[in-house]
Amino acid sequence: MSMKRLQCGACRADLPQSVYALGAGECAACGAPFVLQVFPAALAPPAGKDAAAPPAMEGESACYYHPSKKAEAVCAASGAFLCRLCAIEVGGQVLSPQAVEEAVRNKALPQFESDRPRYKQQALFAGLVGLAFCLVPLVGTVLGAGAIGLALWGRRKRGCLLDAERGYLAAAILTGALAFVINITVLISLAGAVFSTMGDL
Amino acid sequence: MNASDIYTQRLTRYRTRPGFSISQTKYGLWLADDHLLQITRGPYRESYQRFYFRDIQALSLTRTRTHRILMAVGTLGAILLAGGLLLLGPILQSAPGADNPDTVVFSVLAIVIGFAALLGGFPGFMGPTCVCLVKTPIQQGRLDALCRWKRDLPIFEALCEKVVEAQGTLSEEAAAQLEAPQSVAPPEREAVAPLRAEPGHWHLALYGLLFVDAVYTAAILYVANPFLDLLGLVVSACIVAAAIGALAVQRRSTVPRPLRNLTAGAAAYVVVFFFFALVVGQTAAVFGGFEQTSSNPWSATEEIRSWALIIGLNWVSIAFDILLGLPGLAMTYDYRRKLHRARQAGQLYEGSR
Repeated sequence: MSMKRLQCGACRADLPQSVYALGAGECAACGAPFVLQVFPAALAPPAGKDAAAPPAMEGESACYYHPSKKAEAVCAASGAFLCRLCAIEVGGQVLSPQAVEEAVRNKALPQFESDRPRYKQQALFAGLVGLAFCLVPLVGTVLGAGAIGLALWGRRKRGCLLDAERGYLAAAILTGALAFVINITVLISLAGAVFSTMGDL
Repeated sequence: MNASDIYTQRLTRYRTRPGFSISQTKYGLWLADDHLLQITRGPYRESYQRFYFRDIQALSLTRTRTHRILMAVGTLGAILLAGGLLLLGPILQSAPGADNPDTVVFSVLAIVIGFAALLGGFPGFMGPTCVCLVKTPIQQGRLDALCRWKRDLPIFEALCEKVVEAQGTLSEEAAAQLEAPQSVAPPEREAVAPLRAEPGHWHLALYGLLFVDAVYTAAILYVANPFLDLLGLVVSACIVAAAIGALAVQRRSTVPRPLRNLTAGAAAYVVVFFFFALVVGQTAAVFGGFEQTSSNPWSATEEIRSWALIIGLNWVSIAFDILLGLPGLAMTYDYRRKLHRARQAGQLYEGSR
């Protein structure tokens, strides 16, 4: 069997293999009840062992990336012949590694995205911190302006993969603008007070 | 291709892990044709984890005890915070040179903050927690969106069906390869004796008395009668006895787990609150500067009862009596009804361990 031991979700102790076929039970270490299901993939050989591409015979098409290997698919993006190793199935299409790399770089394949920054939330946070920095108006002004800039820059970028983020952009711009106006007013008032004091002297 | 074309089915809403967290990270599950997507949504970043159905070797859902800890923290926090505030009023009042602050304010604050602390432990009262693990050839992932046992068990089963659709089920020969369960001694916990059918009289008495105590405490806020005070002593003693009795009889019995947990909580409340009330009462009597102006001891009792501290304690007592008594009565009634039906049908009520 290729599967490593399953662990108890509560105490992370290894579960005995005798419970795999039972479907439910209690952890012998902590007594936590659990339900589990084991699937045929548990018995499958590790991936890659049977993926070795066969060599290309004379007269057969060869892989674009591995000329000695037999071509078995065609890249949907570039039309290149691909061997079994190079053919990557994505969303019902077969792509070459290069095409996948390019698509990931351009964020054209949502299946391969690993994370996304949420610019509008970051802008909103910067605006709120800017509001809180009224006593240090120079920092608050920079943060307010930065919040507006970040919100405008990220306005066309989707922060979430699947959900619309309504209201964050408006809130971020409003908070940033408020922080900027308040801080700049405090800054100007302070500067005026300093100059008038110097003038009195 | 848009993400919304791939992920057409939302499996769960965005949920936080049960417990206290500052980061407010939320987890959601989405289904695609061939894989499961877990979205981890932080305040400023979103990250994704995919589990392909064809790769999943095993799925497990384990019940945890996090909800009990949360419940205990919430309840204890409520008692300690409310108790501390109730004590603060008289202490400030008795301080030399104090301007007699209005102790009613402290009582109200105590009740509000006590309830706030209870609300803090609210995630614990939402039901048993669980952890869902996914095993693939290269990793063991955790599906944090599945965190409540009762609510998420159907989702877990739906997920298992999806994987079965992709892989099929284990054949008998394949299952035998895992390891023959009959060749291994069953886990020790499965060999315990059958549960004892407990009729639930002690539980009924405990929650009934808690409800009576709530009514009685509400009465003494408005009616000053020495017999009521004596009755209070008797009720309190009976509640302590019923709590001890219920705790003793519910071990290894058919009493359902939620009722057992509630009883344990009620017993803890009874012990802590009565001990607290005793300490406060003794401290007030010794250091409270109480002057007995009348030969009649009941007039002194009346004076003590008008203290803000005692009024606050009574309100807290009423709140807890109702919070524990009403659900306890309902659960005990439900349990006794099921037990009765099982007996009438000649079946053995199995309950829960």
